[in-house]
Amino acid sequence: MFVLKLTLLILLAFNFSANQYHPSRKIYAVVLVNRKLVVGAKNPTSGLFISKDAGKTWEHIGWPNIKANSIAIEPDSKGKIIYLAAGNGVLKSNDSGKTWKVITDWRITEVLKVLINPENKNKVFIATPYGVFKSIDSGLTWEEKNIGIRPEETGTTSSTFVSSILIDRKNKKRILIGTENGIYESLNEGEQWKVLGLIGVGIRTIVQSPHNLNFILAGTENDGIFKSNDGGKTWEKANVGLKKLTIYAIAFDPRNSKIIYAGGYETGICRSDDEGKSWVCSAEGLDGFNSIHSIAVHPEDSNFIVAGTVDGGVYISRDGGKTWNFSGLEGATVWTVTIE
Amino acid sequence: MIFLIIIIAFSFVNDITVANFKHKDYLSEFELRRNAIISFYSDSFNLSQYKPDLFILTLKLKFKKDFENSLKWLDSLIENPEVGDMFFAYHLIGLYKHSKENLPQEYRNKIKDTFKRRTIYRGDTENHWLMYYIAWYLISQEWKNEIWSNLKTSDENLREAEEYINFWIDKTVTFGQMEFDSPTYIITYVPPLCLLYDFSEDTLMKTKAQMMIEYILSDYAVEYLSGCYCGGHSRDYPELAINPRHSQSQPLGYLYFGETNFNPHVKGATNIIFCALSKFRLPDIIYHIATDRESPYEHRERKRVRNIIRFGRERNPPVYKYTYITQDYCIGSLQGGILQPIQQHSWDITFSDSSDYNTVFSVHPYFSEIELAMFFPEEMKILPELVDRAHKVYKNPNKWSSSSPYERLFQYKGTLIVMYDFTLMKSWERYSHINIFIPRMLEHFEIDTLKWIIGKRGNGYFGIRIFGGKLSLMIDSISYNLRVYGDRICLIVESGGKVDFGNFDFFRSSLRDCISEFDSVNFIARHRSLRGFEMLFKYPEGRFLNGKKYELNWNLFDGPYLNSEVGSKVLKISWQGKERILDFNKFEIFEK
Repeated sequence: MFVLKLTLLILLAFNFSANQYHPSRKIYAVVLVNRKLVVGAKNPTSGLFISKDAGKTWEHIGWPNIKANSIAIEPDSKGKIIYLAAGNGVLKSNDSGKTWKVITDWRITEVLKVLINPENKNKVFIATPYGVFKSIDSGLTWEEKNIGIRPEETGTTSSTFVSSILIDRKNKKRILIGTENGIYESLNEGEQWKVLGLIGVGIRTIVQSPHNLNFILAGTENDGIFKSNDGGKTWEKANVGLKKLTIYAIAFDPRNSKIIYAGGYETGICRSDDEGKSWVCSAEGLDGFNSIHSIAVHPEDSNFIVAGTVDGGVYISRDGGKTWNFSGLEGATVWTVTIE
Repeated sequence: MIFLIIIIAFSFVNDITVANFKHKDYLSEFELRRNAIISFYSDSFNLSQYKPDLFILTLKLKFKKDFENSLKWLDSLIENPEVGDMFFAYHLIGLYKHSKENLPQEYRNKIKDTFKRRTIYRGDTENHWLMYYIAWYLISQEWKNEIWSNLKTSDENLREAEEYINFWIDKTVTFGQMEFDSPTYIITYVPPLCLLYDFSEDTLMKTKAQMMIEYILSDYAVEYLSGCYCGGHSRDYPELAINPRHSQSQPLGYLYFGETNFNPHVKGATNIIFCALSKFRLPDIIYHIATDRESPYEHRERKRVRNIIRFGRERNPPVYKYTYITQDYCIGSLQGGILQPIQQHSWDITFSDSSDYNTVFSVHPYFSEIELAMFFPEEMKILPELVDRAHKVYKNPNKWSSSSPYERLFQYKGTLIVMYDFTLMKSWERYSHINIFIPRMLEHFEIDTLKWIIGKRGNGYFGIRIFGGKLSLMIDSISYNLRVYGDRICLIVESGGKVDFGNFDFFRSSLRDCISEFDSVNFIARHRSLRGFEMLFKYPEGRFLNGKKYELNWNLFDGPYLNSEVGSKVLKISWQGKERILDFNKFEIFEK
């Protein structure tokens, strides 16, 4: 009897883990474009979508037509204060997405990433095709911060094409940016930039391990993944097992330092169980949408992973990436997914 | 979408071409053409048969034609929450401003409410931004002390819009326009500027709008040939590149310059309504520049490449445009290379006769993710597919407009050398052939023993000699579509007309006297032209004329009619001893 009860309990626990919802954590999906967007025409909705039921249903909030790229939620605001990086600039909501104000002006366009300093929420950085802009007053005013990356200094407009930005959690004054011309760092919160590495390489994403702050990964255009064990001073390729080498998204398992997920152009979902030394990629369950632009791992449930695809909407795995299921937003190119 | 519907609607309408009026006095001619456009759309366009757009409704409401039906249509056009971009915003505020006096209060409120609720996509290029900010300028000016869909106040939006408009004017008149000389996109500049001119409460802004309309129309006038926009263009749709008389610039040409019929079948023709309703009047000096083709002339221009956001040495490199214009034909070109994405039109000969497909040109149908990534921020591997969804033919090997990094040109007067080096192409780039468009509608067409492709269209003549490639000829209902395959291809193009060569036989026999050499190893072309000068072109940038280095370093405008030095912010417009000077430093206009 005891054994039977125990078995039942284990089964129930397993079942709960595999199918549990995470009502306390919303999933945000930023849709760049839907399959049929044409400027000047009636268009399907894009922009920000929120799921409060672990991806079962999605609610569109805010602007439907702004080529949204990424999102940042102010720490400790419980999802109340949200920044959205978009074609029209940066939009900010102070009421959980009910209303949005465009907080940039004509000088700032096509914002690719937005990042809030976790220690000082007034400091907000944005990455754009025209360089970095910084606000020290929660987005009220913005200043261009391109000293060291300007085309006249580097000889290429690629150095101001900033597609990713990272605040070093070890030293919050240190910021890394991934550009179309490698990685640059600033030791004074963006006031000045200098080359860190991978010059000539198109950087698509940079991420820092939550487990080891010296461990940084960069996803690139055509060159796969680079890893650094010394905070970005030196880089080496980490492409074993990768068949396609354009990587848009990398996400760490928050609980297990060895597990990392990556995705990119026609890669499917790639998983490493050895801190990026090798990768196993699979597109099974993705219904042919094997280009992945965004990945998020649930902070409390490592098995719950959300992937934003190109043209195929959102896919969710509840078993650490073993199986994937379509989870809504059909036809959407999901540029960013975030779990609150 | 609105444009498409209108085109479909008009395709069922017959015999609606408005006659070209001939009057001595420019202004009275202009008024006749203006009235012809207005009455065509306000009187002849049947709302119970065809779906209108916001331009047509503007006229219907302004002149109280089929008023109730028009209001119903207005409801249907503004009710869809998914429509909301810069086109929609400027069309709707234009409708409001022009028809305000007749609009019931309920509809005034509806329109205001639309701008308060409807989010407006700003777009990603110069024409988008100008339309967007002109819209917000007029909206914020109309309704003060309001908060709009972007949660900015009227003051904030007005200030931002004014700053952008000032920025755009300053960059354009200092360094040249980015989306320059576009037969397609000119309608996204002139009509919104007409709105700004008509409804800006600020007299300085009104003057700025007037000066910019004159600036853009002067730019068009100097390369205008009986309804067509000559030479190289930053952007042109493929179907219009082969048929320039059907470009969006055609109705503008009709209204301001004449010498062509109004063609309502042109895509986006209804944009002209805001110009026809405008109080803006073109100074007759610009009209004369557009229509005086008494003597052939050379005209040079310098423009800017659209913002290169990656893979460029500088953000906006210069574009050099050269055009040679006569009463029978014009030939014009850009220097080649990637100067604009997707829709670049590097060169053409345009003939002055009034029938369709009156042009000859070549294109390298190129596409690559790198080209798109230079100008658009999305992921480069995805971009070709995204662009192909919007532009349909981006990846098509038969397309008729395209930029190419492997194309370079050298023109002097009526002679042009075009070179393509496909040995430099990467494995992932497409395609390694060029297409030459030659219309079927020719009075003479032959390929002679020296392989000159020779043609006559009206009083315009051309000869094209092809070096370094294998030629295939496909004939369809509208063109002799010549395709040339090869690693290194060189075209020698000679153009002429009755005005400079007399009869066609003389032109034809003179082509045989041209001495042309092509060295494919060193990729050098030498050509002694019909007009006697010697051109040497060493790919990619070695241009020599009569033994001297030929530099591309000219001014924003450089010719007998328009002159403007880089950085001067002054445009001098001249014709037969008269001068009109647009001084953008002081925003003043001087006349001599």
